[in-house]
Parts: sequence; structure tokens; C-alpha cells
Amino acid sequence: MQDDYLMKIWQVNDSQADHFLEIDEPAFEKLQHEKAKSQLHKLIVPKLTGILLGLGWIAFMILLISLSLRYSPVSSGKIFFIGSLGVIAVTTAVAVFLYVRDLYTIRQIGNDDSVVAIQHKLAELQCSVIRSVRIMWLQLPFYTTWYLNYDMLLHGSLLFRIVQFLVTGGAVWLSVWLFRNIRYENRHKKRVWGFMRGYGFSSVSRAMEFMDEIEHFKAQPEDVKR
Amino acid sequence: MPNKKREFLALIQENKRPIFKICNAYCRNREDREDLAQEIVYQLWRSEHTYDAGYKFSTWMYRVALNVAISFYRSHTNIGSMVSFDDCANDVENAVAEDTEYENEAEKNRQLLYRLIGELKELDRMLILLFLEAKSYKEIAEIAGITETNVATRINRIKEKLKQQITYSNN
Repeated sequence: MQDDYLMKIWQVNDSQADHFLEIDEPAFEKLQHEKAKSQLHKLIVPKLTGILLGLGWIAFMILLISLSLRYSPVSSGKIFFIGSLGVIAVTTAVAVFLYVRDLYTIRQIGNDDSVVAIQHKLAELQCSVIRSVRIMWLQLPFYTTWYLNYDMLLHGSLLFRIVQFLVTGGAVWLSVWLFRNIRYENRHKKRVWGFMRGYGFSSVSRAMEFMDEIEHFKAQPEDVKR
Repeated sequence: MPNKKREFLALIQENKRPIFKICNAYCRNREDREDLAQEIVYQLWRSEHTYDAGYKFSTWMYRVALNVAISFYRSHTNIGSMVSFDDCANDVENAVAEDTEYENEAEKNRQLLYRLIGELKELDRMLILLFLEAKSYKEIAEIAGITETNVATRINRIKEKLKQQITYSNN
């Protein structure tokens, strides 16, 4: 079978194309209007949602800190409360900043570069959510310390101190483990990605697979024949 | 501005055949095909300022259209709202198998070719589509963003695979 044969088959029934895409000016105006409205691309919506939720969370932390400073007397407990909420607010702010940077990058991506370059950038952006997730996990231990004070730690019951140590210690271990392991380089580790998929990150996982495909596609096949 | 729009629409009419082929290669469901075609037209209009007259218009157009098509295909299969290519391929396969009134051998082979192309990965699908549209290896390399040698090797492999499958199906 010759190459021409494939091409001939490909050209069959091209007459269908004649009735395709019949757009006049009014229809195009309407299309522009509709598309401009739906410009919030699938990549943008999750990031915008993340930014809004993050900002809301930061505002809530700041509100709690300022209320605490204004209405309750100065005590050792405040150090834990303000410190924990402060760290949570700062790590959330870093994650929000990364999302904002991604949004800026999305706006810079056109469609006119080579297919491999654009698709790689898009897949990379889809994966970039894991950077923010890693940072967000770092705040986990501080959700187990905001209510503490020196008195509880020095004079609390032994059982309370053991439980507190186990809970905070466990949270520190988990957050550090996730921070170190949730990364693109570990995409083939089932333990990490099984965990992430369970939390709705399957689209990120698919984007990573596509990035692998692109890398493979870019690589020169071994047996070159022309 | 109206003139610019008119010129753009005229250009789209002149080039609607390749757009039709791209839409067919990346989605077989009619509604999705129309959706994708509109998205391509809109993105071509939006990217119009990036076209450098020093380069071939078709290279620029294929880049934009294929980027839009691959992103569209990936995002729709991800959320599962699009009839998957496999489903469509099955439809075509069933039609080919059942349709004894298919008198036109060429049309049957065309359906088969589309089905086989639909089974390829989206980047390989782009290569064979450009090859079948009689683009040179050089232009395909520019559109895809890989080397000419890589294009040649990959296309050769895909062609061989397609030929074997078509021969096997026809026997």
C-alpha cells in the first residue's frame, strides 16, 4: 500500500466540509460575545477559586488575631494562638501568591507557539497546583497548637501531654513527609499519588502523564529511518 | 474594524477544510465538533495579532488550531462530558461492520482511517493529520516543535501501523 493511498482515503467525502463553519458577521459577533463570557478557562477557575478562598482564610486569621489582641488580656496562651494563626496566614499567603503568579503566566500563554511548547506549558500549569498544596500542608501542625498555653504544657495531666505530643508530632511528620514527597519527580510513587488522587488530584496526575508523553514525544526515536 | 472582521471571515472560509479535518480528528460527536470549530475560529481571531506575515499563514493557523483542539480534547475527556473517542470509534466500527449497504469502499476505508487515527495519542494524531494534509516534514516540525528527523521517524512508524491495520481489516 502506497502513501498516496492513505492520502486518497483522507480526501474522500471532503464535500462535507463545504457545509461546515458557515459563519457570517452577525453569527461571529454572537460567537465573540459568548466566548468572551466563557473566557474563564478551566485552568483559571480553580486558581481564582483558590485565591478567593485563600484570601478569605487569611482575612479570617487576621480578624481572629486582632480580636484576640484587642479583647483578651495578654497571656502566655496568646503566643501559641497568635503564632499558630500567624504561620497559617503566612503559608496561605505564599500559596495564594503562587496561584496569582500562575494566573499571570496563563495570561501570557498564546496559542501560536509550537504545539509541543504550548501543551507542555499548559500541562505544567495544571501541575503547578501541587506547589501550593505542598506549602499548605506545612501549616497542618499549627492547627494542633493554637489552643495551647504554657500552663497546659507544664502543669497539664500526663495523659493530655502524651496525647498532645502524639497529635502534634504526627502532624509534623505527615506535613514534612507530604512536603518532601508531593512533587513532580515522585509522580511514579504510588503511595504519594494514591494519597493525592484520593483528594481529587486525578486531573493533575493526568497532566503529569501528559507531560511524560510530551517528553517522550520530543525525544528522538532510536531507529531513525527516512 | 468591520473590514478586518470581513477579511478574517473570508480567510476562515478559505481555510475551513483544514479546520474541518482537525475537528474531525479530535472529536467525532457532531456537537463537540461544532463547539471545537467555534473555539478555533475565536482563538484564531484573538491570536490574529501574533501572526507574522514573514511566515506561512498555514503554519500559524495549524499551530493555533491544533493547540486549541488538543486542549479542547484533553479538557473534555478529563471531565468526561464529551463522548469519548473510543465510544465514537465504536460507533464508526459498528456502522462499518453492520452497514451492508455501504457500497462505497472508499467511504468505508475513510471511516476506518478516522477510527484508527482516533486511536492514536493526541500528538501522534497531529503528526499524521499534518502528513495527510500534505505538509512537508519541515513545516510539520515547525508546527509541532520537534526536529524534522523526529517527525520523519514518527510519521513512518504511524503510516506503517495504519497501512497494516487497514490491510488487515480489508482482508
